[in-house]
Amino acid sequence: MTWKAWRFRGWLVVGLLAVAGCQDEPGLTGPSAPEPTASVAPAGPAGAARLFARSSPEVLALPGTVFAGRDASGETLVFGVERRAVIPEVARVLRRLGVPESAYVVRVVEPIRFLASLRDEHTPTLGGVQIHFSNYLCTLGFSVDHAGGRSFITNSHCTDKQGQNSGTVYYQPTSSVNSSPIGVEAHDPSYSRSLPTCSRGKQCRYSDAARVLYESGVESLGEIAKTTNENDGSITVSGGFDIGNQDDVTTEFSGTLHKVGRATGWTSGEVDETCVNVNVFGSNIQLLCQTMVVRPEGGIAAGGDSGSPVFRRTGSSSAKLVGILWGGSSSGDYFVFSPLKNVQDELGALNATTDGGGGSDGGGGGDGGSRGRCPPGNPTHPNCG
Amino acid sequence: MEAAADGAPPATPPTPTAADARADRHVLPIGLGPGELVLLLSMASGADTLLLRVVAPEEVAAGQPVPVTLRVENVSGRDLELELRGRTIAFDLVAFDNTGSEVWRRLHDASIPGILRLERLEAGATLELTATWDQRSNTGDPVPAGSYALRGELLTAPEPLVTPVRRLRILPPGPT
Repeated sequence: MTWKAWRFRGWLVVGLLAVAGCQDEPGLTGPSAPEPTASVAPAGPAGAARLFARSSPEVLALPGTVFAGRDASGETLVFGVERRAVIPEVARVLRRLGVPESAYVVRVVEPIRFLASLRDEHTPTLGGVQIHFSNYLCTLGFSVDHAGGRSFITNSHCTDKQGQNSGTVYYQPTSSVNSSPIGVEAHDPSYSRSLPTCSRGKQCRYSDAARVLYESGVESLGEIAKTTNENDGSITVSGGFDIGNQDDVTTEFSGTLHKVGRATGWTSGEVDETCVNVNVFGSNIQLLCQTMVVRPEGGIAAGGDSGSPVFRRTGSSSAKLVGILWGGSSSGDYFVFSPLKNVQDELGALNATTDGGGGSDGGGGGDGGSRGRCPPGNPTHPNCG
Repeated sequence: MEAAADGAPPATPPTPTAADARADRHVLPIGLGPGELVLLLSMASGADTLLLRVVAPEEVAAGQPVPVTLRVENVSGRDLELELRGRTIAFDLVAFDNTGSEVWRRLHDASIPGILRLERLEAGATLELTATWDQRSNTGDPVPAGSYALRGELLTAPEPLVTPVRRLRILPPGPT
């Protein structure tokens, strides 16, 4: 997990279970502070309860404290803190309140965070989480630096009018959860009948992608949400894949590719067909030079995964972005994605490896306040040199 | 769980699928008028209920297009919001032959947009999704005359909702 992941608002990592794991560890119990000057010895559970009522509010007001309670006997106060450095401050407060050192223990435990899923609110935003527009749900693909301002990429079909700029307004996760929009559609190129290899009667493009300009003040990460496990159906966020690199040149793929989407979470499969032209069911749209990724067991994608970032893993929590998912089979045994190269050919150069510190400047150019970095292994990238 | 059509000889039931197994947990099949089968589905939220059925002719001539409707009725007594796959709703229809083998699937080999549509269905309202089967198999060949079973699948989140089968007889070509 990267440092950025810990900036998310609202997930649970570990709860009080961490307490049990710490109980036998040497050196974690007992403050090192001197004996209180005016201590009141607890008289059994009743006395401990009084001390608890007196001390809990003040101790938990200290930064770095996690919980306050009593042990199973009810006679000893137990306080949890995030790190050892907090223990002296807890001891100081307890001493001031007249709680004797023999009446309590302080343990170092994991901090408690709220459990969050891909369908919850995420601030800053990151790839793979749910977005909402009109009466549809899709997935936020990835955030980018773009000449038009700090933006995110999702599917062209995840706009009010596919293939034209219709000013679609996006919310995360839904407008009912957070009524403040995160962005407005900025660019959704038109489909064309005249592209090479486009079939007669079809409207074609090389990517199912649209750019959405972030609203001012919306922070975004160059990161993809990571769920608890791969291909297990979980949508619980447990960290992030740092987008350390992006593939700006490839249209033919092989091997294992991954995606994260709001419906099926983090899934992976093997490239089956690559750089193939695909008709989109229920429309006259044909997408040129797309790649299919299969997982015969199913569950690789489902409704709502449109826009999912597609990537290669480069480490346990790092990724190389390769494209954007737009569809798949009804049984969920394959998904189809547009290569990032095609996306950039149609939307313009973009950099998905950076964080954004507060949204766009309204589309007037520049990098929207983001801080760019040179992607490893990509010396021709605009941020390099 | 499958139910036979009223008055028709029981067909060999289609091989149960994973979707069938999932649906079984929520299924209460009940019979209505002749030729109609309905399925009462209690959705994961508990009290929410939808009535799903496939509507199709009992008999058609060989080679004639078969109109098939997947009918979804909100019988919960209150408005529901359905999460349905597709910009236009991508429902599935499946035809089985009398051995229970799948011969046609509407979404066979189809690449469907992965968007999720929020569809509000008012209390008592019905959603009708209609398609036509051209009597061709998944390989594009005309299917022979005989007895078939039709099934509808509503691609809801998180799991598809599956109807019981509706019997269909394709009549052999008459003398010319």
